Amino acid sequence: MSSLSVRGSRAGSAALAALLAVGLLLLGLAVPGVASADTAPDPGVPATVAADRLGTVQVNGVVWSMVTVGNMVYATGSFTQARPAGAAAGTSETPRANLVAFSLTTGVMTAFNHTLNGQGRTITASPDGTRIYVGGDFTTVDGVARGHIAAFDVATGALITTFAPTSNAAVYSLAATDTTVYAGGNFTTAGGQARTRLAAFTASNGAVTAWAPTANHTVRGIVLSPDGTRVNLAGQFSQINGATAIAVANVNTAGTEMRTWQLGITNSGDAGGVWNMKTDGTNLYVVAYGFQVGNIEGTIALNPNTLELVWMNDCHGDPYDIFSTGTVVYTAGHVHDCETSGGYPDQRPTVWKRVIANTVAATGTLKATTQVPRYTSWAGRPNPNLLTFFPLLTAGSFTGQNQAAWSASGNGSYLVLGGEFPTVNGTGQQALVRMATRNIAPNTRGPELTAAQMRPNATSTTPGEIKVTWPSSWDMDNETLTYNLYRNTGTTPVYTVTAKSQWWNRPNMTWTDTGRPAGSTASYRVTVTDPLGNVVNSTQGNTATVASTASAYANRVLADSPAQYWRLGETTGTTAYDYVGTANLAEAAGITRGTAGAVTGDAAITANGTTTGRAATTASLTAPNPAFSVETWVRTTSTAGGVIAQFGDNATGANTTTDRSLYVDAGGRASFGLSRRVGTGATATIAYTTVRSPAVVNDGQWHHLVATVGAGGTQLYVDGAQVAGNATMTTANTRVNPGYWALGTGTLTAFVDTPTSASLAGAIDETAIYPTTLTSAQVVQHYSTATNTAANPSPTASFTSTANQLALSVDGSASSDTAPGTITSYAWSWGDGTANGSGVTASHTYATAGTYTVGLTVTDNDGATGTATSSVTVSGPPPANPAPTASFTVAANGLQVTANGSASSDTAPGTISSYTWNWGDDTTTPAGAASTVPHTYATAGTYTITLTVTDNGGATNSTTRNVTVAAATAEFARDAFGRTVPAGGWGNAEVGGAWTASVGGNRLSVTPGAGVMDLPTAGNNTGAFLGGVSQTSADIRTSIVVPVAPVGTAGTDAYVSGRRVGAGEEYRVRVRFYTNGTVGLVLSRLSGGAAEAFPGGEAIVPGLTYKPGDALNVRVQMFGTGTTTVRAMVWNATGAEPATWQMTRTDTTAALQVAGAVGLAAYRPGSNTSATSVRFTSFSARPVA
Amino acid sequence: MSGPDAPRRSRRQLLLRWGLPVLVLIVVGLLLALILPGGTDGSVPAADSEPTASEGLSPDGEPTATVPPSPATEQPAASVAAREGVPESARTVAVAAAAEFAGTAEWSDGASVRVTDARQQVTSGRGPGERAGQPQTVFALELTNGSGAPLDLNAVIVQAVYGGDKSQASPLYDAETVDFSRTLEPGGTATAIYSFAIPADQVGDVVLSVDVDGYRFPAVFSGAVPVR
Repeated sequence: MSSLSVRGSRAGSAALAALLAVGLLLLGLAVPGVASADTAPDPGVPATVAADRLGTVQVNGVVWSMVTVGNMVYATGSFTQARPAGAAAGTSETPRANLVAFSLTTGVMTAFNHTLNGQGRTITASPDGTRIYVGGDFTTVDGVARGHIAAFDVATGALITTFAPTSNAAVYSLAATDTTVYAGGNFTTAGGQARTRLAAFTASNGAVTAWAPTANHTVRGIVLSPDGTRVNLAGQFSQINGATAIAVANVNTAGTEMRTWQLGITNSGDAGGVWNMKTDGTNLYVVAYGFQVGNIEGTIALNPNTLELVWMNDCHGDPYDIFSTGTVVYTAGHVHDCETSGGYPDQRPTVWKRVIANTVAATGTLKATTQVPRYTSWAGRPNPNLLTFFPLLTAGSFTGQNQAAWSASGNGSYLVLGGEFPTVNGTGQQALVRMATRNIAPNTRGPELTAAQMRPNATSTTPGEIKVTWPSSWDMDNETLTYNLYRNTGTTPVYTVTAKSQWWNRPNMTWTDTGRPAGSTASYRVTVTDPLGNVVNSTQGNTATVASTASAYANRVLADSPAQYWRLGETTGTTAYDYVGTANLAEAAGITRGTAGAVTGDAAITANGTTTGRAATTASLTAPNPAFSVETWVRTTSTAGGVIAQFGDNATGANTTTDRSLYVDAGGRASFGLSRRVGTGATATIAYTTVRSPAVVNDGQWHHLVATVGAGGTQLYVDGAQVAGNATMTTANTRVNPGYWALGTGTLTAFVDTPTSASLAGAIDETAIYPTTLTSAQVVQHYSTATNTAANPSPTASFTSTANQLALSVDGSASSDTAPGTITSYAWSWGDGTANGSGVTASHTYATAGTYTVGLTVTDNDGATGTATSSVTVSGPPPANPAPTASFTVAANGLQVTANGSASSDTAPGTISSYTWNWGDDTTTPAGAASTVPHTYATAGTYTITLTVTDNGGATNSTTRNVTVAAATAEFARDAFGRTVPAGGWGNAEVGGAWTASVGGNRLSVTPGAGVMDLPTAGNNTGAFLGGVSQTSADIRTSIVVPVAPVGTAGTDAYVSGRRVGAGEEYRVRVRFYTNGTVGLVLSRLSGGAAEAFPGGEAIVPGLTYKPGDALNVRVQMFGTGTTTVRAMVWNATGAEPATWQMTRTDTTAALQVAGAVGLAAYRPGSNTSATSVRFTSFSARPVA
Repeated sequence: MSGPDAPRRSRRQLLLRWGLPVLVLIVVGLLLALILPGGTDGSVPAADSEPTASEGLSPDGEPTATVPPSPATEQPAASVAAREGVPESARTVAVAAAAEFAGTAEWSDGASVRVTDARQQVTSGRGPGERAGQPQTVFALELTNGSGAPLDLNAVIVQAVYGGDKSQASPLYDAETVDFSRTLEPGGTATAIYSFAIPADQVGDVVLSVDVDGYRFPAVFSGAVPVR
């Protein structure tokens, strides 16, 4: 680790500093080993632009796309007004309708002014720099017709009249050569010709060319390979030219030959894909997103001809646009987790960085994510270096998507960001901003921590020494910072050190001032300076008095590496100083200082028993987790109880959730509790589990309390001895993070053994929080050091148990004691009121089945004890084996029957072990474990089926049922969707003719194995029917998958139409997939222009739930004229068809008593806020038998 | 998006009388083409000089109430798109019958267009180019070629204005919206879906213009949109 460099300003301090550096390493506080990279990078690392906000014209909406031509930046998006840098919103405005241009070097808007009547989504330039092309939603430019694409002359600024191609929907992406313009989007025609989301136009006259590859979903990026031989495509598609190509592909300039990438991306469409694509002339950069497990998320560099992987940064949080200078790649988006790149892991609360920078060069390989299964691991793939460039862009409200930066452009000296951010680095600068390299920028962004935040703590626990501690700062565009430490009013530093830090990684820094006279005082200040000379000069720190004698107790505590340690010995002021870092406590009015302490020579505080008796951290702290310990001293006579120490989520004490609570409980005993979340969503509640001392602690004496939590459970120590334990309390509540430690008062609502007061009237002293467990030896050593008594560590109790019906065997041999101590006795409590057992192993037989708390107390040769408890469940002995009961249902489908014996039962604890079927046709299915078995008869007829069930005790039972089977009737419709339909729609069914779109035809697609109805927008209706079918008796089977969980009250709907007489005239069955996982069936009637009717109402299918991605089988029958009978059933495809219909309705609507077609449809109710689709994986229809 | 010259323009975008003889339109169109060289400012030929009902004040500040409008013979001004190479004077096919949203707008040559469905919703877009939570009015249009000649639908411009100040509504494109396109043979019918950012409380006062090409006057629907 060479990242810490030290230079002493005085003789001798260098050696100390070197020692300190080693100490930092040993403490695990060292900064990571990534190369310094910023505006003053390490050798070999490219410099980023400086994070300074450069004044730039502002717009009052969103900038979706930008292109830089020479010194001019052209930006398009959705906005109506522009205003100069520095102008407040709504002032000094000049109309600019969705298109604006400004100088790259000055940021000042130019006279270039054209009115797009709708937003622009994409903008690019011809390679020769003579033309700008804009694509989007607009249909006129300056009142002149334009079909979503327009061109402008760079030299004159004029709309080019000879280039006016048309397309019939929005253009999302453009790429240009000097002779051809390539467009991608959502259109299905271009220049009057069929073009499926991709088209090309001749630059000279706007004529559509013969280039006509097809995409089955939106195309969001087009980039020519640098050699001009390949047209790269990116977006939300899963097919190009009808062949599988998920989200990224390229085609030749004829549009005929296609290549795709090989990265195993699993989602496309609304669930995942690629938002944009750019090139720097060497690499192709794609920005990928995924809302489901499996997708890559982040910026990915590919070879622009072969699409082979160059690197990926695997930084999660949607990226939206890329700009590469050739050495540095900037990604605009909302990256929140860059852990696998060696960058920042997910923070609590989440931090979104709206722009990040990477090297163009791959510098290493990705680490494995710690977020499996949330994220797929891409460990081992080539990976660029994440650079230290973290300007602050705030999210805007214009798009309703809570975003800041959407687009990026620039050149080798400037970075331009566009989007909807209202501020940059805390200053108003809306939607557009420039940043520049160090030689241009003012370079005024300095270390970010304030003078108050940098204030050092000075403490002394050893004669002659003062320990000075301060936080490392961070800088938006510099990783290496220099710290100078000054004593008293001195102006020459007593210590100088440089260190690397980032906003997410700021270890404490410390230095020990030695040779100070006992009883003398000193205070310190620290300056932090970035490589450009920006400096923050801390507030002068507290005044420390040099100890005249060593505090053995304090040094014992510090030797065990606490994260925070408050001695609480201050006799003046309202601050209790942290002896480890700078997490000081603020003492409120109800805290009295100077109370005689638990440790000789150091005072304590007294809390007054009200909510003002509070000493609490003022800045949030990362929660200690998973292993941690809380140590404190308390002296009280209060019978009202109250909090000694607690970790809560609110700075003022108005906690929503608390955890890690040590308190004097309702019985005057010490309790320590961990909270956990029970249930999910709005109905979730918080529950607490506690351990409790057997003896009271409110006897007016000082008591030393330690609660330690780790993989071995929780142990509670009082005065050096373990008094309680719980093996199941292994982790704290991860939801309370970050939070605040508070002493003296807190929140105890709904706790266990809740005292009458949450605020303790009593004295508190020497409180330490450790990021580790403490052993019993450490605990007793602390206690004996404080009390000058001999140390006898408590033994640790640990046991396993085995239940055999009502008999329980226990084994305490895993218990231990610290040498030379030995365990001399084992006492077992059984939790059922019976006498204790003894011995390393023991057994006990309970009278009745149930769950009991078993406890083990071990006692060592010096009388110290340790306790562990565990919850065990025992069950009753088996009764005499009663015979099982055979029961089955049978369903016939043509000559095939499916018999389901799962309703057979046996008396617990007996279970059915086998099913034997006699089919009544001289054939038998021998004994087997399957309860559901199919059988096919050779001829029609009525047969008697016999089921014999046998239980695990060998008892049997039989039952019979008759079934009548008939030859199957021929299907008039069938489709397994085993095809591709490049032009969209569903094409032709295997039997039944062509599928015709009834609504939402552009949302119909077929991927091999499924007919897909996309529902990207609330209120979407999508449907198709077989118009060639005409019948009055339909027995329809289909299989439905809803891949995305609905969000909202009404869920997602699939429709199975059994009689479509005409548009708005049909009977159909709606299968509704509710948000809560249940499924509803209802007859839906459309007729005569009336609103959709549901005769007989909806039936929620009992016992059926689904998960997104489950296949559900649906069977619907509609038959009869005059009176039509409709019945339906739905079941999980992994199970057997139900024996009975789940919904049966009749209806006599006159217009529907005639023959009709069959079809399918899907609907996304307006309340469903999640983009979704419905996939039909099979379909068949035949006359009702 | 009312530019500085909006009042001037709206005065020129005057009334088309129902059933006016085609000849009159041609003459006036030619006159306007002379008055407005270039013909690219998007104005509509004036049929007469009466102020529109939508104007708050006449140019000299007199309340328009002193000039009683005659609703039965007036229709709102259409939004017109200029076409390169096609002078305004080329607009010769008059609107034979304009319409409320529930009706059918017909041209004098027998072609017609109607709004088959209208829906008010809120956008739920996600990702670049999208907006969430914005009002959106979706129109399903059906165009029938009742004329004797093929109709080029590749440059149909549909625009909407709303409210008393005739604010231009931004077109919104999502996965559902699709313009008219291709060529419609005589007797054929074509459908398309357009959507605009019209606030829900403004759908009672909307003017939807369907400007097919440079040769026929835009069909206009006006009044309250019957959103479902």
